[in-house]
Amino acid sequence: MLRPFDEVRKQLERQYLDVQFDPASGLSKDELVAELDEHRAENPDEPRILTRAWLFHLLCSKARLAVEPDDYFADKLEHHNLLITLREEWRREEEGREFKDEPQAILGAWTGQLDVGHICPDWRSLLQHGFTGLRDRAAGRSGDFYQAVAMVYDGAIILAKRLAEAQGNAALAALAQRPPQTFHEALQLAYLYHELQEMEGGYCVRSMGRFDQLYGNFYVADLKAGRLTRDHAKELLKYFWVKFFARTRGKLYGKPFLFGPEVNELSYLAFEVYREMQIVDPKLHVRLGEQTPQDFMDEVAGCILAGCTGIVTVNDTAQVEMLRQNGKTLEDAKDYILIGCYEPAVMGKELNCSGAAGLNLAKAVEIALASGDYGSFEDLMAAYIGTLDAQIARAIDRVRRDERLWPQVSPSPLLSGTMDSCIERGLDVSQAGAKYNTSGCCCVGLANAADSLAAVRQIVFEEQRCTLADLRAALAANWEGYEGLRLIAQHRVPKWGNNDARVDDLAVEITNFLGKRLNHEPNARGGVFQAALYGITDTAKAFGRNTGALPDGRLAGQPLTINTGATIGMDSKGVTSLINSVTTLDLAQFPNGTVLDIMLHPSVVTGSAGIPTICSIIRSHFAQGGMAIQFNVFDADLLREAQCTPEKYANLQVRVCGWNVRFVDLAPEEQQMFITKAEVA
Amino acid sequence: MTGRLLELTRLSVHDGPGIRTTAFLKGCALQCRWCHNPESISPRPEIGFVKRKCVGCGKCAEACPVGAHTFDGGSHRLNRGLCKACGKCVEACLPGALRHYGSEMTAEEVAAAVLEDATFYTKSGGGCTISGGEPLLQAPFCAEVFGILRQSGIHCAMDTSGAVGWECFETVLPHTDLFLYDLKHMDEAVHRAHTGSSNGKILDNLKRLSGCGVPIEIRIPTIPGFNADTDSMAAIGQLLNDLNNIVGVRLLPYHLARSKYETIGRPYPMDDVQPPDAATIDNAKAILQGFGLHVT
Repeated sequence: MLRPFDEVRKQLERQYLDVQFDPASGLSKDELVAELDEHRAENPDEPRILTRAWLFHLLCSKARLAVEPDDYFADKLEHHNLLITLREEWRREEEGREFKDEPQAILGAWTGQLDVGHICPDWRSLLQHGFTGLRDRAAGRSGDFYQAVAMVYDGAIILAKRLAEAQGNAALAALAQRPPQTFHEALQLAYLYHELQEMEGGYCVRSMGRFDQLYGNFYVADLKAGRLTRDHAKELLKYFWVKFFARTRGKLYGKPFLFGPEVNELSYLAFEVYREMQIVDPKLHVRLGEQTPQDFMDEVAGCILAGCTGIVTVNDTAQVEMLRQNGKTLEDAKDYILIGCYEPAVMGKELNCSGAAGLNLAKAVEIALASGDYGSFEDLMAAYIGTLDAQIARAIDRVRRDERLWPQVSPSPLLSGTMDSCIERGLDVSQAGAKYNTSGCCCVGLANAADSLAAVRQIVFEEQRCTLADLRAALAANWEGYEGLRLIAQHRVPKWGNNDARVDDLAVEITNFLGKRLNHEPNARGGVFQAALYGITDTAKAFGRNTGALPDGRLAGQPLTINTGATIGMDSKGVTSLINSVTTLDLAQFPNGTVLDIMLHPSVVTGSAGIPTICSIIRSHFAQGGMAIQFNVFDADLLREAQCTPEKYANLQVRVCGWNVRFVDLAPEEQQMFITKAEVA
Repeated sequence: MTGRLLELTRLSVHDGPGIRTTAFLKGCALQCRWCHNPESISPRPEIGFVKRKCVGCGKCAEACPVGAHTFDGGSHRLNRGLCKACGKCVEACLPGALRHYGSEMTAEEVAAAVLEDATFYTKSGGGCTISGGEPLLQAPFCAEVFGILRQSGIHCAMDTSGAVGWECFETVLPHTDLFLYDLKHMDEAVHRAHTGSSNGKILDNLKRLSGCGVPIEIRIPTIPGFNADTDSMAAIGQLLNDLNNIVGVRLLPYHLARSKYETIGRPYPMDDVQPPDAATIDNAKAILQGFGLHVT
């Protein structure tokens, strides 16, 4: 047994910050690059998949290692991102040729790219076959693809041996010979694979798989055989998970582990560990279905209440049905994971490229308003939908053209080697070897778009408070000199998220259009596009920067509203109405994912009613067709922020004895009382 | 039938079981010093003013038909003697500094608003609570709201001070699943001094109600210097010990409510009182538990 996790936690959290690679253990960067250059010069016509595999093998066998005597796991290889550098060289070359004469698109209206950064290997296959089995099933078969797969797994085995010797790691020594047999070996294999996959693909592993389903048997078998105690398993998991935090330091998207809907002893242990660690990364996704036991749901809710905001719960029944409707077999649909943030995909069988395209729903309002005079709101709405249609056409065209370049940009034999269909077909994932090849289009800014259209309808066409020309002038001036009109747009027009049909109907119309337009549209990999209704903060900021002032009162350049929720501060009717609004949408039209953010004040969920309240909110959301939900329970820091910027926290409720009030309506000394309470809690 | 409402609060988790919507009605029979909802006391509509939000635009003065809003050196003043609480100023006040307390709603409107969240009640074992003010001052209205809701199987709870005639209870009893019943003090003189009324009716009604077969949760606002002491709590415990259908007791520790008083232009009467500390609450809890009561 190594030292208790808590004693070495700080050190483990810093394990990737200043890694001391042993110069005696391998070649320097210059030496590696020289070998690569020599190889390429000698083999100018080599298929790129073989060049990549050759480089992969070189790095595994000759790059330098670092050892960590205080760790259960070994994984540190100084690969200098050479595989990524090579990929980017090829990407520049291919894209430069393809898009040389491309006209400038409207900035911020849409995005389209080759998304090689959202993958999930077939973890089940990896654990079943091990590095050796995956090498052996490709070795001896003819063709570049099989040769490349055998070469990278041969490299992985060599690396396992090298690391095992350097660090004295018995688990890795075993994995160089055979598939994993223990919990420890399974975790070691998964982590080393993760590191190698990142070496091959950049920040690309976006699901660590169905954790309790994949590792539960290893854990239980170890317990039964007396090889492992529950406490030791917790230590192993902490040493394992801390690596994910050490990799991101909380500053990247984080790697998700999926749980449920069936649970086992490991599910409970994992949540206990997560709660004890209070760690930003990794993040845990939970499939909640009818078969999920209530006590496990309570465990999840308790974890959320303990401040673990990195938990997303998803509606299992609805997700499976949605995947069925979108071309997956029942068996595959039941084996979905969530890629990245919230994007469902079949584990190990689907390459869903969930970030391929992006669509700015708010920018289309700006474009439509600027493009003509409209005699009626219906005319404007038709122009808006027409604008979306045109932007979608451009985005998917761009993605298709990029996808055709993929085999020459990023062949991925390591990833492909895990996938049964790639092996059966003899095709790399870049050549659509996966069973399902889908491409996502994330639609961002629904709240801004719906609120803006509702504002124009009411202010210009119904109440005639101003003309369309006046409104256009106000937007062009970024509302400067039109403060009165802006206040009306902000405070006298219904807002998305309040269960108000006067704006919710517009959101329904927009989303119905998106679903029909995007889903089933073919991509260039034999699959289809899939709409998503979420926008992470980065996208919301990037799109927002290029979006002018909007009729909902938003100023130019401000971030768009994230995900499916209301614009911050506009859901004044509270959480239940927000959920009622969001579930008026047919969310099954977004097979590339949706999520709703819920913000709660701790006073709503303190005491013994806390866990049942969280569970009831989740159940109510799911019962109405919600797909995924995540919570924030505000702490003292956030309350202080709310004190300084109350306009952003208008819907934050607090309980003053027999009364719920909005936090922002309290006098400063009363706010201070709640802040103090939050500090104590 | 219409009722006079203060507010509908959704995702209410402290006014009975599960997730609820609480309808707060306006008008109360008591004048408790510690009242957290001073705008609920008067049965008449009132205008609230949140000074922090006022930008001094003067739109309220333009909209007011009786000249109740004036600006004294840029600073807003509301002459409550003139104000008829018509609400025209509230509509004109875009920054939201003014608000109207006491709108009229029909029972159907209230029930429809409550039913929006029906899924939440089903999934949480929650429902609807009518509170106040003193909702039983509008007992026929409450009965009508509950009557509609119970047709949809919604659990209905009545939060009352008990300071009304027994006939008000009779009106709502057939439609009520749970009473939340406030008790303040057993001593008649002390009760009168702090609430402006005798506790006679309150205690009589409670005794009578406890024989009606409907569950009752007792709620005790716990206030240092008034009832948080051992003797006061023991006296309450003694009473409850003798009653039927008491399903639990909830202590509601006193909190500051100064901002609400400022909003409706009244002086805050509790500057001399601090919220109870944890030891005081624990003591009160222990005493009541000594009578075999389930206390939260």
